[in-house]
Amino acid sequence: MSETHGGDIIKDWTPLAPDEKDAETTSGVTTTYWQDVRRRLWRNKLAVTSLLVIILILLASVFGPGLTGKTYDAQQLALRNMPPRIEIQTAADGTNFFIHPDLKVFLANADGLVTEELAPISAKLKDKVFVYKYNGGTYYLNFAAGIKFEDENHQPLPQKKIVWNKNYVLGTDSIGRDMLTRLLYGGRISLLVAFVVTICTLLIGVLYGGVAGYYGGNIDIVLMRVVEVLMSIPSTIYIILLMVYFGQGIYNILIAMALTAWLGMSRLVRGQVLSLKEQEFVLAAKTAGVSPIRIILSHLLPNSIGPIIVSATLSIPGAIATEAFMSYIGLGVRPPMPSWGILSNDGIGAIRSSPYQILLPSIAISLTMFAFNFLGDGLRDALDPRLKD
Amino acid sequence: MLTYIAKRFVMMLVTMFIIITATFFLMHAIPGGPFSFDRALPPRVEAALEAKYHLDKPLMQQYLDYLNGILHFDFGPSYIYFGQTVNQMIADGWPASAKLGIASTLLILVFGVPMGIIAALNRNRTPDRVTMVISTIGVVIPSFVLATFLLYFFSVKLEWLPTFGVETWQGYILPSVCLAVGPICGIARLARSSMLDTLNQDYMRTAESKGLSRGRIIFAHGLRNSLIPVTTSLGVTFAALLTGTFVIEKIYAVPGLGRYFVYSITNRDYTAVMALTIVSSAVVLVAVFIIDILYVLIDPRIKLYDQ
Repeated sequence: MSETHGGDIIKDWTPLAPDEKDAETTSGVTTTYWQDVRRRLWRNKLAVTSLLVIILILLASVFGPGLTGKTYDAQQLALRNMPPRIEIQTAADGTNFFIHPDLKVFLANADGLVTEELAPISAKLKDKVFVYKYNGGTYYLNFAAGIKFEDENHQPLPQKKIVWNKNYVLGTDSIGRDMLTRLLYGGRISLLVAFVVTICTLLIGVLYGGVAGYYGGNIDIVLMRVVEVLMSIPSTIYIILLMVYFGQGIYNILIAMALTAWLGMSRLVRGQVLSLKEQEFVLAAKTAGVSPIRIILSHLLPNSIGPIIVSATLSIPGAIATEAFMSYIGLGVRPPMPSWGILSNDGIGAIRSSPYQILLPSIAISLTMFAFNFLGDGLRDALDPRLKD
Repeated sequence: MLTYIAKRFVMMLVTMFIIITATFFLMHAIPGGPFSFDRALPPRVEAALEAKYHLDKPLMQQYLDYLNGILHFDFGPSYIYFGQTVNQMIADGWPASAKLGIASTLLILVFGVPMGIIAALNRNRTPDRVTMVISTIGVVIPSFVLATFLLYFFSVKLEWLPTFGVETWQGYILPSVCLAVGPICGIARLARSSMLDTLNQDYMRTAESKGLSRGRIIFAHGLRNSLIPVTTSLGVTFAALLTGTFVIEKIYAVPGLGRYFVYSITNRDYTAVMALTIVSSAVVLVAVFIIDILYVLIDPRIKLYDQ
């Protein structure tokens, strides 16, 4: 209620701070389409986690095989089927033994470094007992009911503990090769196949579909009839035939898969191009005398890049599965080169005695497939939020 | 309608012909004949073998003979099992594969379709979310990885079910579940989105405002319209399962067509590879043909002559 004098008003008045100047305007910061996409993708926790997992798997399979200090084909036959977790039994005199489920006795140290196999000096097969002598002590491996390792008084050894296999962290396979190295190297092969096949799919599919969609008419009819016929052949059969013809090998599986994988992509690109080519900006480009190839490459494709990226991302897990499948039935890469499919195939026979040999590659395949699928789904939602549901 | 059927039929025959031709020439282009063993055969034995299997004739003649044989459903002799015909081997293998295929298809019907419908009716609520998560996992995981995990838990850890073989009915459980999980999840997703589409249609609102009961709306109006794409997908899946699957039959030692296919690939039994390729693509092609025709019959909205 105080009187306002001119001086007071002037005293109360302060200039607006720069950031307050636009307080009345309603628009926010303008963002481009790709900024929006990135923001939407970052908000999708599952997709971001998947992206991180994929980066980790990629790094591991690119650099991992060189860091393990072993090669994928070096065998140590004495140490075959070594599990990742081993039980060390310590005798009274401090000697450490590892009893393998295949009825073998190994010397080890307390940390889990298995050194050499101990040969039995005699066997009483009637009682189901192997007799061992080491460092003056006599030990019995009794396998009448379960596997029991006993000292000279037929008492169990005093100390037991389960430790990680020091030498082979993930164990060895059936001919004594390091599982970790093979798993990492197998990832390299599986991912290489997947990426190369996807790139080929992109190149062939985009070109083929782009030409069919852009030119239309008879060219379109002929090109798409070819695709239709090829698509009606079940693709596994088609790949199997090609592989029987080519023979095993990594380049052959690349060619066989690339030859079959582009069909879907070419249909997708054709559809996109068909719906875009009637729009005004294409007409404008045509009027300006831009060549058809330029129109396809710099006008039509950039506008349909979203679905193409999504389809490519989702085709990677498909390619991994196909390669694994082909290797699994013996038509993939040529052993001893590992791939996840080869590892699964090698491991399935030992599912009872050494389940880790089949579980490890299965887990690797599943993890990669999930990651790529969730990333692909996330990308689709981010690129076109209307498609959700 | 007849023109449409005729057109589809010709299209199917052309595709079949292309498959047969491609298979034949690919198999004959492989270096080394079926009788190139580690140790070279005496030339006279080799000549006799080639004469017996008509491999001494010109390639075109062999091709025409082969086509003629296929017209009479005769796929020729096996190169590996002397004295056995490929027809016999297909007849031996098919029952196990077919049983497995039928069992899996039943599982798909019983679980896949209801899962999708329930998810759609409870859109964005817990049943929907659970179904979607499960079906994502099921679609993504390759069948042989799933087979491994199931084998490990049910046969090795719990010892409830046999590890391999189909001598008893329990032997069919794991392989048919492995084969069914992927399609169940695929069908569930398809049924869900198709049902959601239908639920948004105007006639559904009409049915509701007429005062029909919820059950009648869903079953008489919703299901009938939303199951059309599901039928298509199910048909193709059934056809593909019927002719056997490679990996699952190999893992579970099912004496079916798929395992036999893999076996003939590794043993280079080319006549068998050709025959199995042709038979399994033919079954799928015929199924697609039948479905295409049924599709037009059950859904009059589809315009025939556009295609």
